[in-house]
Amino acid sequence: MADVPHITLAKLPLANLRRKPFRTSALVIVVVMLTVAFYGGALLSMNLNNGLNSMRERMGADLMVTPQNTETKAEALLTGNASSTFYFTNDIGAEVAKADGVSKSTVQTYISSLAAACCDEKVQIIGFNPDTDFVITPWMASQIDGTLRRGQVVAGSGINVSTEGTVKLYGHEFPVAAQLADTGTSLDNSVFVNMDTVPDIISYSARTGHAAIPEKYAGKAVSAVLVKVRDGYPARQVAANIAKATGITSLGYVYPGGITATTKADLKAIIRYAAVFVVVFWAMGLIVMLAVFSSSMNERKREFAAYRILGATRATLVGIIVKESAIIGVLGGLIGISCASLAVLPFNGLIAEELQLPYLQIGVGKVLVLTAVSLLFAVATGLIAVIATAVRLSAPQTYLTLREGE
Amino acid sequence: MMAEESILEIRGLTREFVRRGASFPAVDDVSLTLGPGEFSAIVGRSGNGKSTLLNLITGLLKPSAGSIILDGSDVSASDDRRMSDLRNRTIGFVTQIHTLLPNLTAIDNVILPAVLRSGPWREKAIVDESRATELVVDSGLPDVIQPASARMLSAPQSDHMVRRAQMLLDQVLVGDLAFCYPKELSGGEMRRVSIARALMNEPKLLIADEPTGDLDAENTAVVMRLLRRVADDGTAVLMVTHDPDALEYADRTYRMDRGRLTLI
Repeated sequence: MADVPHITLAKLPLANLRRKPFRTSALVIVVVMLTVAFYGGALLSMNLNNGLNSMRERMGADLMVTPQNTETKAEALLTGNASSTFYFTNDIGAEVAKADGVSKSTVQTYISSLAAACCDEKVQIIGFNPDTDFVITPWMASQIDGTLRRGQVVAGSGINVSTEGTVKLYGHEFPVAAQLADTGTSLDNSVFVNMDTVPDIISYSARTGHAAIPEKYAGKAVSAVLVKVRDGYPARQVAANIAKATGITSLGYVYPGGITATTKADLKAIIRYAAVFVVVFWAMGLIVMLAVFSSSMNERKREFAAYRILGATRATLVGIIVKESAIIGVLGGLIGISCASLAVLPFNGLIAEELQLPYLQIGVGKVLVLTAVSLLFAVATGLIAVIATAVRLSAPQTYLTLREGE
Repeated sequence: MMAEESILEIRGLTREFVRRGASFPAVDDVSLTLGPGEFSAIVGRSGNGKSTLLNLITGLLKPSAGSIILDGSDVSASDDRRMSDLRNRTIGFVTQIHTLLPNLTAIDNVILPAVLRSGPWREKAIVDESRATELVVDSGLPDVIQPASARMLSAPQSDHMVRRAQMLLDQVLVGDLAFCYPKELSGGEMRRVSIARALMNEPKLLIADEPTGDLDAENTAVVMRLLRRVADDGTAVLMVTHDPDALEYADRTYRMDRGRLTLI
């Protein structure tokens, strides 16, 4: 007899929930759905916001000068929609640098590789000049030691580097000097090379029969000039000055700040839609839970009366149902968070591809905070759902309420 | 019986309800005194206020007028915590309707009042037994042959609860059904488990609303003998019944008619 387990006040709520497995499961499922919507929606929104911030940080230029009719390609390249190859055939970099209002300028060359063994899609090769660069070098410097030598590449986070530490492009194995952290932008699917390496890449591509750029332009092909304007100069004014200084009126101009603003607007629309969806979904779920708890109150009148007869205070009675709802909240919350995490976290790449927006997974710390907030949300939802029942049980002559209809 | 010795003292108790706009007294100017060991029965037709009277005594309903003094406490003036404590410690209530919790086994249902008790649960019988054990130990018996009851003192309080609950179930002849759920029990078996539950905290006043309502003659005798013994051990027993066989166990019988109580 000594080892026989018996009921305790703490075990009562769980015992009550076990007695009604169907009702309990239905309530848990409602909380799971609400938590998935809340946690999943918040996680996606935060990842998108993180991606936007990451993109903003990486776009250190105020103005991007591109060849005629290539603005769309350049924008797509920045937002991660597609890789491209386009280039000037003249020494545009020096001309742009002379324009009034230009504080800094640097050239970059973009080459879209053939489908490579390393990657699911074409790789964007970005050639940059480490001596003048002010866009890539600042954030790359924190992740690679020393300078990028000719023939070496720095791989974006989405590039599969071989066990030998190389990436094969146009049939040539390029040693990888470093691999960058995830940015949630097109840069993740790019490799970065020193400008001196660009002619080599063009040469390798020519050998495969698919010359990325005609070999005659190999030494001077420039895809874009990235410009940092002087303080007080509007980017559009500087663009006009560049047109005047170069004498070329058909240049393409891309304003990365504008792209960020457009992306931000798209993002806000998505987040607003998600928020409305979560609120409506939550209200509907809460109504369902209120109805279930309220009807179970009628069903359990005799049970509650028994507790009162045996000496349970109104507070004890309310405590029991509050604990029941808290258990449902915790259980539903944990399952919901697990399901949403399994649906979102392993598929970041796929989600980013589908959304066509910068998308960067938030850090572990933020995920843990979001998990805690979501769990609180789930428990709070359960508690709100039993408020009406608790108020009725707290009435002075509870027993009259409990015997209604008998 | 002197008033200061009474467990229950009711004076001019009235409870009115309103039906279709008209008020009527379900309990009308009732006075009743019950001392330790007294066994009183109340008979009367259904709807004449018997159950309302019991609910007023237990503080589950508030009176419209009059007073109820229970073990020295004014029931009407007690707040919820005090009244709940009285129901738990001082009153054992066998209800007319089945109120066993369906999710708990019979033995857990019996243990429940001890679990709901504020403060530590203590069984008088075990304390008494410990005194007897002390005598045995003091008589010079070596520890190795120390009686089992002495070892019980060092066992956790919960073991005492389980032991007492099982003993009560044995007394109402459903000890072998201790681990059955209410849905597995007959109406009579459930009634007996309810009685065991009402006795768990060793109440000073046992209130039984139709305790033999769904029992056959044999089981009625078992239950009534138990209630009589409870009364003989010093507990005041107040029983509402329609069963003439049950009345012979009571010391006094009252009739309740349209809310008024009269001694037969």
